[in-house]
Amino acid sequence: MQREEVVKYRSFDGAEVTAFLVRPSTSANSAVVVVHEIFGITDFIRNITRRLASLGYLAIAPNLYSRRANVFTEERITGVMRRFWSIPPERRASGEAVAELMRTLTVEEQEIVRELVVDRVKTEERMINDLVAAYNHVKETYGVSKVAVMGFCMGGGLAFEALTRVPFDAGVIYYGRNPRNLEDLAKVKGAILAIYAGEDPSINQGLPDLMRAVITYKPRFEMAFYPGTRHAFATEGGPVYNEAAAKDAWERTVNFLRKYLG
Amino acid sequence: MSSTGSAITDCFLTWVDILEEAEKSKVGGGKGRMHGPTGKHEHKPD
Repeated sequence: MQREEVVKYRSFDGAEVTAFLVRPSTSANSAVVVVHEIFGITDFIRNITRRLASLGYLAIAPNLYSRRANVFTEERITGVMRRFWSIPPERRASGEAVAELMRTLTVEEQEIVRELVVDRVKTEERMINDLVAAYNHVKETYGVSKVAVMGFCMGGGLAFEALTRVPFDAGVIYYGRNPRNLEDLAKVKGAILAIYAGEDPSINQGLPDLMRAVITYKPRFEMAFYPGTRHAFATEGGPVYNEAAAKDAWERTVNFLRKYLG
Repeated sequence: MSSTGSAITDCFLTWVDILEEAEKSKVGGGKGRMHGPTGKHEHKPD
């Protein structure tokens, strides 16, 4: 029987990161680090983690909001997103418009905007370092021989970046942003499966550069592109869930993991 | 939406758009407001 627990590991700065861990019913030779969307450890992420364990992998989903878990809840993050509706779409990335909105928010909501929008570079680096620490924790603690990383949305971009930092054996990127420096693809040890939604302009605008880098640096790279779907099409129960595409992407994911993790 | 150059902020702003569209599409249809990515809703009383 699978076993679920919340574990803790120490990150680069000494902080404790909590993680949702599911152990498979049999002993695992490989592990998958699951990187959550912008909403944190949701039911969807827990279900993905369980599904991976049902395939025989030790699956662990670090909570990248661990340091402020009481503030960064799914409900509060969604609430802050809703507050952004008051800004015209073309100005939502504008520092001035965001600063103006900040003045109307609660202290907790301001903290969310500061971390996810204003101080994004710092936050991103911290989260990537938490994933590097997760890789080390898994390798040192659970006696597995291979480790993959899999991320969705925000977590897809973070997972892609993490692949350039530590020698994961494989990576599955669901609609994630490219690594910051595409030359870093030369450092990727593991095979990559990159999954994209057809209607996802902010992510897909990076694809021409990614293709050029793949041709130049030659990582093991597979790609699936789903026309007619939107960012987050695999999030079950979500507003843009596409069952056919999600099932097909999952089947590709399973085949890919079997190929590279065993 | 153009990219901000950040995986975090791009995802955040994309979800702002997705939730806004989902909310608009519910006008005149369903009750309550979408509460998150997994379709949880805050139901208003009848």
